[in-house]
Amino acid sequence: MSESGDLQWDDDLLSGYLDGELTEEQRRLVRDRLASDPLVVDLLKQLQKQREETLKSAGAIPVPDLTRRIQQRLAVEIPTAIPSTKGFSQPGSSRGAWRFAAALLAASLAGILIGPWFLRSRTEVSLQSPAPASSSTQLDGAAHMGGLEFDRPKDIVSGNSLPGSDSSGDAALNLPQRLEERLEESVASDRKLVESDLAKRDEEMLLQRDRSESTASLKDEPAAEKDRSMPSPEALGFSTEQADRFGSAAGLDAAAGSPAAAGALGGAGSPGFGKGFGSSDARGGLAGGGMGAKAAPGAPPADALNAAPSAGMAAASRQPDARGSRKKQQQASSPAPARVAGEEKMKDLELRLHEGESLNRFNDDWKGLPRKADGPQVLGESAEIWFDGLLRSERLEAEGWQSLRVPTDPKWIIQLDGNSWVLDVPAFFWPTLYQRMVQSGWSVQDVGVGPQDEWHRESNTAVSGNPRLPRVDNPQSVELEESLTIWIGQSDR
Amino acid sequence: LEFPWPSSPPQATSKESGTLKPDVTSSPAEFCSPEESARIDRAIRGEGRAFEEIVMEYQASIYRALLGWVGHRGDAEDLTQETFLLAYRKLQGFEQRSSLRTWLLRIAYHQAISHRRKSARRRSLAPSDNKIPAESLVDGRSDSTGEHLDRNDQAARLHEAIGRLPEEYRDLIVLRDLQDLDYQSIAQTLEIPLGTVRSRLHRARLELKMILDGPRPEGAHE
Repeated sequence: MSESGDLQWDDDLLSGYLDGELTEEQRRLVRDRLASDPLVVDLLKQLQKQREETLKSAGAIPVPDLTRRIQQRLAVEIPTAIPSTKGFSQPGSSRGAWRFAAALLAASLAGILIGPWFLRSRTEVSLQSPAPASSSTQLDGAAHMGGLEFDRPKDIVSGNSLPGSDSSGDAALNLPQRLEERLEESVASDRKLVESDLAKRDEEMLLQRDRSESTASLKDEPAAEKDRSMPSPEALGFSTEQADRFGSAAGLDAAAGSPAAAGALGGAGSPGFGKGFGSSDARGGLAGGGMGAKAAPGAPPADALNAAPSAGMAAASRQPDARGSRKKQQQASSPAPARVAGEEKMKDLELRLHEGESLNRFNDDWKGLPRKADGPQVLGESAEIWFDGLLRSERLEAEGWQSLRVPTDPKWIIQLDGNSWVLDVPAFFWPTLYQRMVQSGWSVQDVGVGPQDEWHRESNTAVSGNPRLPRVDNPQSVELEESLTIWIGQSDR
Repeated sequence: LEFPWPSSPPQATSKESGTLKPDVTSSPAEFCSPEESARIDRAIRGEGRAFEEIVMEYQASIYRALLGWVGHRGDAEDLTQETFLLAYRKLQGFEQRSSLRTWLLRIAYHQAISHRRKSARRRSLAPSDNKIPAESLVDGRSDSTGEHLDRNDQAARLHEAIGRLPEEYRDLIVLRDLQDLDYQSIAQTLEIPLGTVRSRLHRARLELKMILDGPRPEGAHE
């Protein structure tokens, strides 16, 4: 290594030199090196030749003229673009204005005719009908929250109404307003009831977790690393015996789908729990108002979940407080972020799959996703992420979402529930998941989890261990193996 | 020793002096030119011709970049269309803090990533050969002149080698050596720190050199 001033020689300076991307000082360093090292000279020449050839080769690539096809697709897929694209190659056409007017009229008529249907569809997609209220479940936040008679969603794959569909759209038409009102009521009442209790629980939980982490770090660093991504069951309130079941994927394998396990853990395992994850009743899925909405069947341990029924609603407005002591300590040393009050209008953090969008295509509608730059946000009633092939984990990460790795079990099932993929996992696992999310500052209503594309990313690097992945063309059920990562929104990122 | 120097080297900024920051958006290398801005404004106002001009001007660049990234002509065509469709939708939100081309390339790059992911999934469901056929990259309708055939063959060989690069290297080679983008624009497009561009690009070039110098894989395009 030779030095010139403060700069040290680095081979990549050669590329920078070749590309004219160095400072004068760096260039001088390269020249000095070139003058003294013929090998570097040789390498530079080769790189230069290679670069020139590559650049030249680009010209050998024939480029089809896609203008017309793009124009046609614009006209078809973006109706509002019709006036523009009609005039795409006819600038200044005198007929343009007439066409625009005609298109506007047609669009207005279409809007009048299909508007109610469209509004309903949109609402249905983003707010699925709550599961039939289950009095036994303690995670019935959505049913409690909603209490509204939503229409059944449409299956956007088939376009058919799902069983039980109701053609009446009145409720759905007023849904946003009604929902908002209901949310405000629920939040206000629930918060009073459970906030103090939750705060205590969060503190205890995080203290326990801290303890377990520090113990693990003393013993074995890798183990501690693992614990950070997956809190120990003990820290989540399980007994040692129960904890063994969560110890590893193998442990889950042993426990998953076992009615006995469900009974032991939850005491209220529903019939068919062991094999019925795919059924709507037995679903631990998250497609509705978040995890709590449908986490029903093998009711999770009461101890672990007794904060749940309305906890989410309250926690939706207590996000910054839900992080426990460690987070508070961290925050104490940094300027307090501007808090968005829970009473303010909640933001809709759903990633919506709109009518007309297929499951393997997402039109990049990222509006509503939290952004780091936005500062703390209070979440809406859910932050569902829909399964979608094009959902980008990097983008999600950049947008401030947080990933959560969860060991899966071969018996877990991905099921297409009309509009979204839901994750059917043994219900007894939900407490762990729930607690983990709460630790991250979420409440059950804040989090809607869709099986995500993260495992696809993993598949890129470890295809051999890749689970059998969901297929949109056969969206019945898919079993997962190994692990998957669930993206959850993060309220203060 | 004197080496050829780019005719108009990008102005080096203080950020390039060794204290590189990962902020890839704070100091864009180029903004929209006044002409570009005017064209964008016209397109936003609904002047179809303006967007057509944008498509015509940039489709080759976008298509070639996508071809380099995904390695298949049909896919690159589809993704090019998707890119412009998306660009049309988002045009109003384009803040013009980068050049239009960089912005379009960024959209295209995200399309390519998504495509790769889907492809990876398909591969995992039905394992298939990952080889990217070079003949799908360059024009199969070559003319009869020997020079053209040579050039085509050379280009095919290069693209084949680029297709064999790890994706993170391929992405950079495509943007720098095929698209001739400056580092700052590459950093913006790939959303990586500026310093990473240079170091990774250098590794990518060395890797490409190794592939080109090494034995050709069986069944490679001849």
